[in-house]
Amino acid sequence: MKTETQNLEELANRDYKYGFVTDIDADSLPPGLDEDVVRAISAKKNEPEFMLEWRLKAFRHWKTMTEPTWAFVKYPEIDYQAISYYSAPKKAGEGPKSLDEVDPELLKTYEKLGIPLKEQEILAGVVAVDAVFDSVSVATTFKDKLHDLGIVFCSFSEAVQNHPELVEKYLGTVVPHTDNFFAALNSAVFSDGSFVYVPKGVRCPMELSTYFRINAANTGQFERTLIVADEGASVSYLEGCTAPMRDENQLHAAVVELVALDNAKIKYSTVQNWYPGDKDGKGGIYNFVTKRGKCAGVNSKISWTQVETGSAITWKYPSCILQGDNSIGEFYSVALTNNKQQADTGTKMIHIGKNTRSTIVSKGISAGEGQNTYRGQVKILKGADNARNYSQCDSMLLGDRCGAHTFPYIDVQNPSATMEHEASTAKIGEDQIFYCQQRGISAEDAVSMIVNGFCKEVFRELPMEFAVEAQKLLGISLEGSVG
Amino acid sequence: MESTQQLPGLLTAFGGRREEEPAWLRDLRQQARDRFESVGFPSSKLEEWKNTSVAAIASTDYAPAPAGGSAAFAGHPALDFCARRLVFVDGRLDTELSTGLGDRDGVWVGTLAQARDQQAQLTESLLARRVAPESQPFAALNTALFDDATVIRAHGAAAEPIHVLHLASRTEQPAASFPRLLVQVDAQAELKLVESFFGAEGAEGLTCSVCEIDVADNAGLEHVRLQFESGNAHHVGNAHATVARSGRYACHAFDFGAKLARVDSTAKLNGEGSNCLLNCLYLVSDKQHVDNHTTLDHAMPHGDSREVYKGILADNARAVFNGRIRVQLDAQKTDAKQSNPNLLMTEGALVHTRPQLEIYADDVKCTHGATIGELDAEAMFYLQSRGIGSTEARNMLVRGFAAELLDQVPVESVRQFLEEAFGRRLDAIRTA
Repeated sequence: MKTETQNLEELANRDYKYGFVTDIDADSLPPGLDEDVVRAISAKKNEPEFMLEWRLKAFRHWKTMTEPTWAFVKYPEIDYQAISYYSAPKKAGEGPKSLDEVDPELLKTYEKLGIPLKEQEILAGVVAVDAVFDSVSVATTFKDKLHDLGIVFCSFSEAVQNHPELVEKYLGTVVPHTDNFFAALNSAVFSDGSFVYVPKGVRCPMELSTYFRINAANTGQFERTLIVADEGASVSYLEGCTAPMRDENQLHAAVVELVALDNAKIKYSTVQNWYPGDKDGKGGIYNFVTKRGKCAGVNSKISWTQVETGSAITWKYPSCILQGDNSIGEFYSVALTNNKQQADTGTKMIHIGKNTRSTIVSKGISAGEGQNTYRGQVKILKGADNARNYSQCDSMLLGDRCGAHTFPYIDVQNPSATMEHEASTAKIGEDQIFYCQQRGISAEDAVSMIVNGFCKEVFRELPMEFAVEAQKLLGISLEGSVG
Repeated sequence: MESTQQLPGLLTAFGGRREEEPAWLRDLRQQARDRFESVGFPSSKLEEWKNTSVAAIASTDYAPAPAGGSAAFAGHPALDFCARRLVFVDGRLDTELSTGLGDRDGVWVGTLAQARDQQAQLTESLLARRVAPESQPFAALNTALFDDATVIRAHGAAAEPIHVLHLASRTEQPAASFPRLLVQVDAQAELKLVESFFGAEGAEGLTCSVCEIDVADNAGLEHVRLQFESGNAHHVGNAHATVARSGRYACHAFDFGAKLARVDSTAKLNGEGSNCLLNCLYLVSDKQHVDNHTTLDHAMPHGDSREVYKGILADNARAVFNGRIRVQLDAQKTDAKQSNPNLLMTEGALVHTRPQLEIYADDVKCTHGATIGELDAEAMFYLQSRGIGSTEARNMLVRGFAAELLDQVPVESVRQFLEEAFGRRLDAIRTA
């Protein structure tokens, strides 16, 4: 496969298209972490007492924990005292009230990323963007329209100020502050994020979306997202991210919590395209994320869809706790690793309620020297009568120096449950390419067709707006080899 | 680490009379002993031992069994499996029950002490070379404490199978034995080997066994491993096979016994075009716990491996399956398939299954699958609607589930024994 080797070389040599640094003043805390830093973050954000208490509890617990080492990834030790835990773009007095007041530098950044915020606001009610630049939300659009329906969609800081009762009720109910090393760290120092509350019986009329972006050097970004769908509500949430090019590794430890009450539905889609480091594995984002949804009520449904093409290291297991009877959990994932990227990703499906169902479809693509690991757990507890799980994990290898690994953990305690797990690993068959070429399709187009077909099951689950971006991303990521 | 204070007792009780042994063996034992003393019994905090607790083994005071246990096993069905057999009672070779030692039919059979005289270069090169004791504390324990090892060397195409039988008697104080088996199949040679573990009813001992197998170029080995220990016994086994170019290795394992059984099986496809098959049927009930860890390590190109581990669980039994397929960087054109179907007969049974793929080569075909479920209600209904009673229908379906593995057993006498034992066990399982 001479052409393929050539293409992979080209692919390895591509530069990160979105790598640039926006130069604006940032109001940062000096590097280091102790209780004073936690208090300072809380004070800067003018948080009520319960939030500070919660942060301190998390911080004290974090100090007793050690960094996990079980994941199939390698990285130099992180010095948590060398990171600055807070960075906000400087505000002149009050925060901006409309897009016109937003720092033009910021707006340019989004334009470079292809998210013309201004245009988006005009584009009548298609997508609402709660844009996060480093740690503080600078603009939130379409809030008024959502407000009329009673939907709360705002930055986490605003939610703490305006809806403290909702935050206090649901924060940490899915991912407790003791959950794991990175979640505890996040609980102690999280700066901002998004908050969504959809009231009883409301169907959110538009896709909600947040664009994340890491900027100021040496700042770990600690996002916290909380989405609550009350009884009978439904919401679809999109998350996408890109980050500027930088030589130091950046830590990102986000937490996402989803709560679905009786008959509620939440769909959470992610396209992740953070800086993966250069072809020697230098630089790149460390993406250590805890994402979990709880189907707390009967007939509730949580669906995760993710396309992971960026980050030097991805450590991420969007999970579902299927507590309510007849609840449904879904996980659809495409993870691509190239050059020296490492991904250890998968899901957990915990079946507690009766007649709970879960579906896992995971597609891993490894190229260059990338290491791609699927790690998932399906747990069917004693009371989960007639629980049903179907898991499918397929891996595709492009190149002879990459790796693909599958580590499913399956624990079943109920005889009426049905659990099926299938996995396969293969390369693109030479006979498949030959078949296409024979019919006048070039080798590159053939590879493109085959890769797209391989991922189709997942892309199909993405909302329209994202499906296009995802296909484009995959195209960029495999540029050269897929034409 | 659990109960490390028990180690010295175990090590002194079994560590006697090593002065006559050659220096290399004493060194090997000392290294293994040091390693075991430093790591101790594995704790369930270790990933490899997550679902299996050996606290019961660590807290038991084992002693060597008193001599003279052979009488109790007169007429044991396993004695009739093969005409050529080595019989160990409580870890000691019983020369009266054993037959066919020495060199005949293309196979040399004997103990390590005899092999040192007659097969000197073989034993040192084979012994303890491929068990990694740091990850296998029980293998280190075996190396430190085994009494005498069995050595089998096939240099031609053997016509008759060889049986290595371990019998454990019921003793006052729980007894422990450390069987060691070394198998070398020379280039072009063929061998059928039955390795079995039976215990007297109520025996509470520990069997900690290690089996090392080397299959040379173009050679073939069919290995049948029966674990029928008593329901109160503990069994920890390690089996490691290395297969050279175009070599064939097949293991047919049957885990029916023991209160707690843990078996680590590793097969390394170490030559081009080698072929491995790991089959296992585990049938457990009451509070039995069976844990199988397997690794199929594809180190060279064009290797084929097949692995089928089937489980039948009833009552409060637990099964753990951890199967890893590793395809190394240069092992192109590997074709590996693994499956682990489990049948839960009653409520209360629990399965942990972890089929794993670890792949570093790109031109490979690897699949794994695992299923857990109960008997198909429609199939039951189909049979019952044709006048077949529910118990009989159930047994037919379960028998069908297991048939694939029972039918492949290459030694007819053993296959017949297994059919009967399987039927008896199945009849004893009560479903609602």
